[in-house]
Amino acid sequence: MSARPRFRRPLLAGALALAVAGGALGFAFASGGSPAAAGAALAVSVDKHACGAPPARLPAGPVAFEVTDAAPTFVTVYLTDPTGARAYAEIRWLGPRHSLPLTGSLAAGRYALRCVFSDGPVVVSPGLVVTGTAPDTEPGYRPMTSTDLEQPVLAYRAWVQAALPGLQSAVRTLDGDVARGDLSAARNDWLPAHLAYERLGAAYNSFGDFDDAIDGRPDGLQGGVDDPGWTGFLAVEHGLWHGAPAARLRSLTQKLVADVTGLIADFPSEDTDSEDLPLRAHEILENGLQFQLTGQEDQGSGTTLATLDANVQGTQEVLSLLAPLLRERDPGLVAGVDAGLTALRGQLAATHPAAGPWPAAASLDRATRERLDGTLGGLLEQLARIPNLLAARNAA
Amino acid sequence: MTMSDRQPVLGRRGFLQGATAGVVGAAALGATAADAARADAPDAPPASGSGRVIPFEGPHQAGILTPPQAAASFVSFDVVAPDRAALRELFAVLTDRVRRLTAGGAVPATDLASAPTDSGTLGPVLPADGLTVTVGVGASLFDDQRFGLGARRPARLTAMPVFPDDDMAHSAELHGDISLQLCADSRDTVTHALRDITRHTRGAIQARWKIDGTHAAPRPSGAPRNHLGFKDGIANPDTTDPAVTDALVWTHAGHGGSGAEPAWTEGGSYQVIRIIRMLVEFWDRVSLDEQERMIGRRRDSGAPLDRSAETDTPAYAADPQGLYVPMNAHIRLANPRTGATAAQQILRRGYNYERGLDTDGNLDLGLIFCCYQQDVSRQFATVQSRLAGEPLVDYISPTGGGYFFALPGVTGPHDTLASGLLADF
Repeated sequence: MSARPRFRRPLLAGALALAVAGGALGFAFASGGSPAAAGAALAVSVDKHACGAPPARLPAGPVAFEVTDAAPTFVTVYLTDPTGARAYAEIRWLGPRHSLPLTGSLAAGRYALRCVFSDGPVVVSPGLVVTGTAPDTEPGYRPMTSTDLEQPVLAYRAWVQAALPGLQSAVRTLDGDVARGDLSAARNDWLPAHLAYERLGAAYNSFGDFDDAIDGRPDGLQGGVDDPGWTGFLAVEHGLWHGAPAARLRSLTQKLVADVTGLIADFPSEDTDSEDLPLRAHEILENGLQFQLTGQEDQGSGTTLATLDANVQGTQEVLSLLAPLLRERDPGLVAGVDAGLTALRGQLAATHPAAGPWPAAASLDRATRERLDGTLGGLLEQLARIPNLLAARNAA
Repeated sequence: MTMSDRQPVLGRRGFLQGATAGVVGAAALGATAADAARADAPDAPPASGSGRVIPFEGPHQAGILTPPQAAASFVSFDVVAPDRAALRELFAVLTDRVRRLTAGGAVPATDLASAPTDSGTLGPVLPADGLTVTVGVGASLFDDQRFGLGARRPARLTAMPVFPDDDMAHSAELHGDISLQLCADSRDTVTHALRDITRHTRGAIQARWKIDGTHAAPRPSGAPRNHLGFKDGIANPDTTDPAVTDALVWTHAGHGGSGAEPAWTEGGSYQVIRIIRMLVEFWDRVSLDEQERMIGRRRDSGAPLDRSAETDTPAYAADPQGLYVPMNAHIRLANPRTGATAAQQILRRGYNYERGLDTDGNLDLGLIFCCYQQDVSRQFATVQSRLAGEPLVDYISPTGGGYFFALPGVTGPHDTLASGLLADF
């Protein structure tokens, strides 16, 4: 599995740097109370002394503020209950003298705006009382701080740490087969080794450049499958199932052992970004749909469904670590996702006899493929909530 | 464009989010203060598109008698939902989505923990844009072991049979449990609606095949032309006459003697979809005279070969030997205009399609033939059998499609598609 680089705005470190730069450039302190641009939206101006002055009372239903940052630093603006125990809407990043909409749909209750300035101050607006009833109002979520993810990340790293020796042993077995010239044994031992890696699915960003070396696809290489720089499990697979000579394979399996060994040495000092874990809970299986269920990643062994199954296991592991945080915020989500993951594994298992080989993804009959696509697709729609639900909303 | 208070806000109800029936009407009233206020703002985002709203509710589904809009997609799905309760839920979600999409309105605010509620491809305010979504069910949905609906199968609904001139042996575009015909005044509105519907029904239905069509502009007037260059759809039944549509288009409960239609089918209609490739390179190498005799009409004017104007009725009785309109001309076989064949007329609602190349580098152009009728056996199948072996078959290649039953309409804010089909279990 290969990392899909993805831009997500850095929440704290980068933000502070930008804010300081802005201040150094001498951004003028905007005078408060300038009318917001969006006409009937409720204009709110925020600064270090007041997080706006929203109306004291509003009817239930859709609400739209146009928030202007009148302070010289960047600000994150939340619509919360008065204590900050629940957040309903947010502006992730608002710059000095800029305006952005803050929209939501509120049920009856008490609310406030909460401004978290990038240089530290947290300011709360006077209370806002919403009365009446409306459909489709937002339940709000308990905001999470970066530190809430520390424990799951530690547990996750320990799990990876514990699994790495098994991976190392499996790639050594594979390398030993190739060293003996026993390519038939190598074809048997390739899959367990590959799955030992794929089960760690969540780890690919944590593994940095090692992932490209260990499990890179040929698609982005100038020479494709003939590119001399292509190494790792998939390159070995391509060779094993396309009649590559043992000598050529040996250089690949030796490199694979070396890269796994390097990974094991490096892992303790590699950072795992805490934001990464919720993201992986969703995206491991996005990749599973894109590359494994389609069979696109198949280099000849016809085992991408086994890979998908390993990816499901990796997702289950990540999810089990995040489950307590998720249950506090969306009690139904974990149960729904658990059921989907279990169903998917069951359907994958049913595609082949317990002790028999996996069918190639391309050979699935239509009904089986549609069921797998439907189950995985439905699961992804649910998993997609996790990264945003568990985004750090410090001081919200 | 001023938004009305009554414009509904698209909700975020989805198949897997525990959707329940009954919130639809309430939600439609939900876009009150903020949206009304927004509408007064000078920079309130206007809805784009044609501004046409085609009512969703009625005794029959929209998109059948509706004159063809400019753009269409025909999509077949298989149901992967496990049981009848999930099937019922599917139709509730489908109803809700179609109701909201066809009405248009402001896209709702996105929940703090969710991806955006809408794809955004039509902007922040969805135009109704003449959108219709017509939902049909295929024979396979009634397989006994699946949802226990065997006894409720519409009396004439079967899988589409193979006709003698078909090229469907290797087709991947056949049949399906559910058909969606999506039509709108612009292409992006069709695509947006399909994307919204598949998102909200993910895990319940899985797309099986899809084909996109375009309704050609009149050239220069009258019925649009197909890729053969001939006007197509000239001799349709009069859809403005309820007596005609009652006799030819709408299915009626209890009709059909021993094989009577079940009660729930009242107001539905049999839908036939056929993907008919036209071998246009070959066709373009055929003389105009031969082309016109195969069709039975003048290419330029659309007039029957024995008359002078597109809308003239051919007088076959006065031409018993086919000296003007050959006996095997397409229009003469399809509609002999006799008393005995009057009840066999179908309501055609076809679209031209265009997609890529074949292995020889020839253009893959053709017709998405779509027709509606009261009784597929008495009407389409009879006509199609009469067309077997017509000279035109050398120039066309039917490669896919299916038989479906377009469900009766949604009659009120608390009704759902397939409510009759799934009632009283």
